Amino acid sequence: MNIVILKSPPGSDLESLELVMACAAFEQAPAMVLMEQGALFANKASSALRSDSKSISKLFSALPMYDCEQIYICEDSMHSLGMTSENIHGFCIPTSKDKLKALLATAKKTIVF
Amino acid sequence: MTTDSLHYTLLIKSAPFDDETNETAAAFAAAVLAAGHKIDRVFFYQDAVLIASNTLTPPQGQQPLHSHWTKLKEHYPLPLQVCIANALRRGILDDSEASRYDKIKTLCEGFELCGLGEMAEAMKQSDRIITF
Repeated sequence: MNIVILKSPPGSDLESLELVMACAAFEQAPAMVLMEQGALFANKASSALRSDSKSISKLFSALPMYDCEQIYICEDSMHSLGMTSENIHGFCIPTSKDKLKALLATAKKTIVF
Repeated sequence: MTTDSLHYTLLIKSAPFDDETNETAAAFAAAVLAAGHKIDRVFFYQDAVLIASNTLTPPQGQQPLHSHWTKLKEHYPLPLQVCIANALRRGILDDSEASRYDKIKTLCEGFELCGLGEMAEAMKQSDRIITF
């Protein structure tokens, strides 16, 4: 399994998500781990950071349509950012740090943003 | 190349002016190649695409940012791939895109603009992906 880890917060250009979607379009959909500020990608209320750019939430919500269905979000990161399960997209899986460690140990390749 | 050699993809995404990551990545690539491994591609993404700009003018006495890579490419087969979408956003165009947008070419010799499909290929085929 390949994993893309998002640690940086969403920027005005969503190039990390574009890479994930491109890999998925070529049948290489990775699992995703959202942690630290990267957990903000899962926020349902995230709008575009620039008036002419893509909505973070809309782009993120399209991931399951690209067969990106294993999207894990670090519970500790959620809590430190004041996020709850109600704030995040329903397809994201809140996961403990220990379980994330075990998951990452199984990864064949990882990319970190 | 030895039979146990590995295939690497290097993903460079750090902005070239922030720190020494570009130099570190190039030194890593040199060590990998010297050890007999193969680098399938060096893929420049996000602000790292600026490394491939031919308009950057270093201060006197300093080497251009791209020279670490082009010098390495003189000795090894080393595809230097620049994400086309990220490059266009940052004003880096090859001959074809310059013609399309009626602008001038700003991509350094030795680099090529490529789609993200190359990273999907890396996910599939390379033994290791190292992110800088």
